[in-house]
Amino acid sequence: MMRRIGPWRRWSLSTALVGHLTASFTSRAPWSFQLMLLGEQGTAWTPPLPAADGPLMAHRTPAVIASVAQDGEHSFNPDTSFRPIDTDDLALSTEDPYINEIMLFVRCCEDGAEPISGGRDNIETMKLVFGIYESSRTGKAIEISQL
Amino acid sequence: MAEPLKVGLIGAGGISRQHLPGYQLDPDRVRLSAVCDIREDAARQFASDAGVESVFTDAREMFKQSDIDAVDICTIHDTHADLAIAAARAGKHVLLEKPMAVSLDDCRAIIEATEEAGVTFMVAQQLRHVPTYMALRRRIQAGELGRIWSARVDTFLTAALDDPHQPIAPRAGYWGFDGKRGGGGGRDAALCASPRSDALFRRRSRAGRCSRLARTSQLHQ
Repeated sequence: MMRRIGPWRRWSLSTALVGHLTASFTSRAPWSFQLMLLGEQGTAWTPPLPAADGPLMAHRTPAVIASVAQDGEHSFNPDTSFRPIDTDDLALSTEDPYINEIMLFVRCCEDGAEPISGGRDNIETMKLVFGIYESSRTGKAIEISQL
Repeated sequence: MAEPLKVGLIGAGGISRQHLPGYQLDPDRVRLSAVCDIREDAARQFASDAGVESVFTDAREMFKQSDIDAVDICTIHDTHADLAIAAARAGKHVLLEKPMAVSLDDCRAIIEATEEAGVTFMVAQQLRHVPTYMALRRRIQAGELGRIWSARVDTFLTAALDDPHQPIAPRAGYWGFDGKRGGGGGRDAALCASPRSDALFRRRSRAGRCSRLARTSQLHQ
């Protein structure tokens, strides 16, 4: 049975941080990934730029960061306050996240290291997603640690 | 020089095409050695494009007959647990396309099987390998943003629309909207967004809770 998805979800975190997640496969909106983090010292933001290499590459939209308090700025100008994040020190083989993840997997198989998205890490992400569904089904807040 | 890691890919659908360049970058370290899909024509086409000779339509036969060290599972979500557990028990390292599984019980079973087998297990969450997000995570961990009070993540993936010029309706027969097979479009789309945000401030969200914001929301099951 097909039913419409209401895409809005909110999660409250232990530091009183409030997260807001909007995710949909069917909304009539540009294929996009956007992120905004508001911190006491600054803001990180990924502006909704068009995907140059096709929809699957939309997540390569460059993230930008502003440290307003450090810069001493009080008025916000998107053209000057935000600056791109420097990735030079990451020493990655490529800019392609799919290639990067394959090469990390190979490295972990070679040396036995735990991948950054190993099972015990990733199940925490899965708990968040299943918790969203459970909350929507029951109408109640879900403690993720209890899942 | 050590032998390259030999990988058998299972599931020659859309996402497997995104994985292929990763097996072509450094053949001294990793090689795609076998391809498996229950649709033989799809398996043969992918193998041809990838320059792979060994083709299977049964993953367990591939585990037995093919000289592979690892598997890359790119199949429909409800097959993930069965295939990952079988691969681990066959002694293969496992790269598993997201989501890990369609239930938390299945996720726990995969973790248990891979740990018992002593193989490497990794969920393919490509957004965690986007350079800018990796760099952003470092900056957050270094305290550059200070204490974070609010996070907003928006993900819109309109690929499931049947016709972009018609009123919104999920693509007919799209497995992603089958609650038992794909887990629902909301789950898949949320998985694209939540790992990125979750990876950035994981320690905080682990102890958190989630709640429904819009009472009008409905989900697929």
